[in-house]
Amino acid sequence: MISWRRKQRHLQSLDYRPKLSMDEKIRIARWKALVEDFRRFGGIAENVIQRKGELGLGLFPIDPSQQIELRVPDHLLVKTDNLKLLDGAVVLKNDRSYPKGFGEWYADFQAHYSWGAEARNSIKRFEDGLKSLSDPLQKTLQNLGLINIQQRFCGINEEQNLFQRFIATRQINRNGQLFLMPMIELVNHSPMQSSWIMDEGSIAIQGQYDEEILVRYSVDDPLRRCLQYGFNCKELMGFSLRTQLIHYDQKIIVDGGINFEPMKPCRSSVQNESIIFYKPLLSSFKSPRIPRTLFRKACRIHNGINPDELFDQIHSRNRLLLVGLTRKLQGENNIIAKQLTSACLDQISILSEHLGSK
Amino acid sequence: MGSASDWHAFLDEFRTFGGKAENVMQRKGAFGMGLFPIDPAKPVDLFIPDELLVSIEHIELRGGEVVIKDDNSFPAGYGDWFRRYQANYSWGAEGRENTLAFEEGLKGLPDSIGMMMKRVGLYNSDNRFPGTDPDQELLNRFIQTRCINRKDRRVIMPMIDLLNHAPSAKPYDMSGDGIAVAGLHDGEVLVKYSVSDPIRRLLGYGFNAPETLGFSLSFRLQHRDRLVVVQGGGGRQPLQPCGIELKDDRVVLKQPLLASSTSPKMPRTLLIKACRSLEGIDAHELFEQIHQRNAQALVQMLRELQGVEGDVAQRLRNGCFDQLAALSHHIGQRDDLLAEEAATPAVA
Repeated sequence: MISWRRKQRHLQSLDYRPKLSMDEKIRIARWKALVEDFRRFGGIAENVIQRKGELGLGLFPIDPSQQIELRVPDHLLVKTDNLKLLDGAVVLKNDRSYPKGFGEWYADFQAHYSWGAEARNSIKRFEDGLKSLSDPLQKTLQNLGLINIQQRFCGINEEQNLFQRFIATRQINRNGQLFLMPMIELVNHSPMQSSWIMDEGSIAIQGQYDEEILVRYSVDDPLRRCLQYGFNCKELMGFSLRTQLIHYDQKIIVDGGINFEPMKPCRSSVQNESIIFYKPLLSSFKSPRIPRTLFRKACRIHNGINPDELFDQIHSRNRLLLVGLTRKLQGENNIIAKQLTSACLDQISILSEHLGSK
Repeated sequence: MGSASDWHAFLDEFRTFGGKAENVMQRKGAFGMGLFPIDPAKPVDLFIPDELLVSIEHIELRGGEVVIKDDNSFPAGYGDWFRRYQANYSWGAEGRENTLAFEEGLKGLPDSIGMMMKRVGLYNSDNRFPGTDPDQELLNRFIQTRCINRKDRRVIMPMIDLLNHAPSAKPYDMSGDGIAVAGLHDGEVLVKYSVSDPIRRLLGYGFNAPETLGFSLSFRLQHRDRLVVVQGGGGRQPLQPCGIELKDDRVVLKQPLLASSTSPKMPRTLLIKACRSLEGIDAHELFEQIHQRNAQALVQMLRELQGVEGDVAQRLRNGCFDQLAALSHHIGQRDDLLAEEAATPAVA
């Protein structure tokens, strides 16, 4: 429940801004209606408004001196398998389990604030760019375990592909099921912020924000964030690419990727006389002594390994692969190639964030 | 550049002064003008005796030509031969134009890149090519790319300075009474000019080469409670521990080797050895801090170069990529060498 005074301030900030155009007034009125309906269904959206920022459309505090709160109760979370594209609009397949009117509200929300506002077009721009990369470059990205572009776009139905990418960039796992979070999915990402608050019964963002409201989506590194989400971000960790190397006559396979428990030693196994390390953390801006420490721990169960040397070897190989990839990107005349170049440079930079050990 | 017969006549003259130039001819190759074997099945033999080496302070521009100021100490006719050599095969053939294009290209880069290179000790246009006496400045740059240290002198080596560089090639043979390059060569006759790394080879000589070593850029960093000044650049004895000293509470580290593709365990080993003389330094962490700063500076340079057009910008991009690649070659350390030294009793 918000106080009368707070509500007045909220309405004043919406209604009495100087020099608002008619379009702007309509936009604000629509937003207010959307938020009010959302509250009526049981959600909370206090002191927030959607507008364009440095990262595209995002949510901002109406009054930065006040706390914001966004909360989606579990009963308003939308299972990803309960979504469909209908005549180009994202709608619920079945809205019987939701409050009355929610299905219509959700379709309006998607059409005007999410999928239809910017998401579809920005996903299409990025995905088209990926598809137009040269075959050798696509092959390189695949070999490094970063992306299989052919598989990602089977090309049968472009709209369905875009829709699937849309879901993949917004879904969260809650109790083993995948959901989209109405309203909260409008919040952009920053690796410096904390993640969503996963309460019992709801998912929330709370706090005071001077500028755009940002949340950390997930653990990631710059290159994979770019390929998965379509934007560049100076992530604070670096994970290995997929590679193979020889370490003192021992074949080592590094299965690259994101370790979602990055502060634990990576998993390893022995297969066909090769040692496989799964998704080792190679660098961390906030905890630069941890990556080597964790890798040493991961190596304890294997004989004949010099963990420090192997850690250096994996770093060396990653650097060489990234330099090679960035060089290849220089030859591509494509806006996405420029974006990927930037991600590769961010990746090279973040991978340097490892110092000694604990 | 004259005809083949001119070239052979020119070599005959060189031989009369005591030089050797067997089985070689000049032509265009992958690296521009260079020397190639006439018959690849036979060895080439290039030799310039010490008496024909020209100290750089004895070289001047006269009417646009590179000449020896005073040729009295050389065999009769050598001064005129040297003038024609420079005009037809070196300075006049390609040397002046290439040097000018590179220097102008560097000066034409965005200010932010120039500032960045200055800050990390790579390039300072104010000193290097201020433009107050362009011809003399060009000659100085040209000489810098061709001179070599020989018996405490900086000298130019006619004929041998026509050879191009490859990091994997053998260095000049300086063991005798002159400078020689000999042996069988399938393709272009190449030589390793000196110890360097990719970014400095580019800025020093104007071309990209995947050098096998990587040295640090210049910067300061905070290591624990110590300020560390890293002096960048490549030492002449890369496989010796770099210099380290304490100056007004600052640790000064002189030209540390950071990477070597042929001896990847040596860079960390050498830094550990260098740091033994000072307390309060964690050599492992410092080594990684220096690497980190280098990577970030090079990445920053590449970011600034994005979208910058032109041949020199492209070469600089390649130089940064080559440097990043070269700097990746460091793996572990040589425990045997570290234990050996630790076990050696100190000399009283």
